[in-house]
Amino acid sequence: MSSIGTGYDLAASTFSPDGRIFQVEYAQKAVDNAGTMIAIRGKNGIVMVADKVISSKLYTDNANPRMFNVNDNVGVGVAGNYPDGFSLKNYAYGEAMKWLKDYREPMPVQNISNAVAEYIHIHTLGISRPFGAGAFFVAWNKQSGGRLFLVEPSGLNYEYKAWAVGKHRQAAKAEIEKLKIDELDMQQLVKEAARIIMAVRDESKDKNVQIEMGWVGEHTNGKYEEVPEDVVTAAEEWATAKLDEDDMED
Amino acid sequence: MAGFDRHITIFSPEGRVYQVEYAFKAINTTNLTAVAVKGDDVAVIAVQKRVPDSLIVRDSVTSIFRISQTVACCAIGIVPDARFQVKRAQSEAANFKYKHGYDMPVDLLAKKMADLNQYYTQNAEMRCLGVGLLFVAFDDERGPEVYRVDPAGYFRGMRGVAMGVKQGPATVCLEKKIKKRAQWDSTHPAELAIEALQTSLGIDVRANDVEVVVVDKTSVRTLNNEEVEQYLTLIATRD
Repeated sequence: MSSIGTGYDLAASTFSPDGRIFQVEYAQKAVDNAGTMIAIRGKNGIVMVADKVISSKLYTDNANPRMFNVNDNVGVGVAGNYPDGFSLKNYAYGEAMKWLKDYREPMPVQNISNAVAEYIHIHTLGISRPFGAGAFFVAWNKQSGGRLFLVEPSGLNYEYKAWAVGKHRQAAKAEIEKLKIDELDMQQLVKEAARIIMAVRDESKDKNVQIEMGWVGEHTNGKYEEVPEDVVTAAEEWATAKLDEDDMED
Repeated sequence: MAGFDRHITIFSPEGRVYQVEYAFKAINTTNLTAVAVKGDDVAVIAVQKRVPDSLIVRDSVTSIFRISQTVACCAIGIVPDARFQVKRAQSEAANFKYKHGYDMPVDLLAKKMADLNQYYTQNAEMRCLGVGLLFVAFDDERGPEVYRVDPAGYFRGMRGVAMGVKQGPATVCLEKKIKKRAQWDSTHPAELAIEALQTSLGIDVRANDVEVVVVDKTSVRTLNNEEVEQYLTLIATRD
């Protein structure tokens, strides 16, 4: 089984002889090579953290955000090709508005996730190119607790307790599995998530990076929001101290 | 134009359609096997359940779907393609019910899905879907039914069928057991399906690793772990 798709990788409408669709696999690489993003479900909420590369000092603060509200209760974090991710966010937004108009209640996170997954999947059929972006969808409510979904460029859509995508996802997942995430409350979750993102960074290659965080949980009353700047800064400081401490122990 | 037949669905000089053949290979992407069996009063599908990572919520990984009040299906292959087909099948069944006033019979549903698959093999706008479908239902005129639909657009009613990575060994096991109609003993089809699955996989299956859906005259339901465990015990003690 060859990993090179030569000849069979020109269109998403083509299967390779092994039954693979290389265009979709290449689209997945767009996410795999992009900045790391993690999402973790804790005791009473969910936090999403993205490692953003600031490609120019001329950008205003918080330009090109990676995380958005789909509706008041559901947050989305996009990974991979930025314009593709932005397009997905707008689609999710549109579907949520239609649902609100039809049913007069906010669209639940699983339905949003499924709708976006189907939309992404249609683009894997050969009509146009696949999306080079994936998205986390997060929400929390009293009845079902926190729910976290990931949609990948293939259209694959599963629910997760925690997950990582992007450049340093393997290392990040390993760090996540060391934690007992069910016991972490939001304050601890934010700190640990910041620590993980900072720990898996490659100091020599990842320059000009900034952390972006979003959360939803009991403390926000089920509303998804950007994590306040002072909380992010405090988490980063705690994380830096913890990482230095760990380095000193080694 | 040599080799172009491997890119879109056109004939090769030998009369083969390579893209459709490659779509069949894609059914084995997730390395799962499913077995369906019909008996006198029930029809059953047993399929392996494999959760790709421990961080994934178990309930969000499944190959068994409810298409309508009376029809269930198992879709294995490329997961997003499978969800796409299931959604379409659900839509077709609901539309039929709305237009005609009664539940869509499973043979008509299987035919519709098969015709859609054939359309993809003849038109360049969309590729074939890398999914194999097994439908089960209790038809009010014909009793329990099992249908198999493949990416080429071929469909047939089956007494017993296996699909997926280990379909060869599983089919051999089924053929041994379902020899003649008259010899149909009191083995419940669920037991037979799970046994064929277990034999083909060559390992002892645990209740957690298999999903079973049973359709009878009045209901469509998935078995819970205890019930699957009972069948596994029956199979083990019989040997």
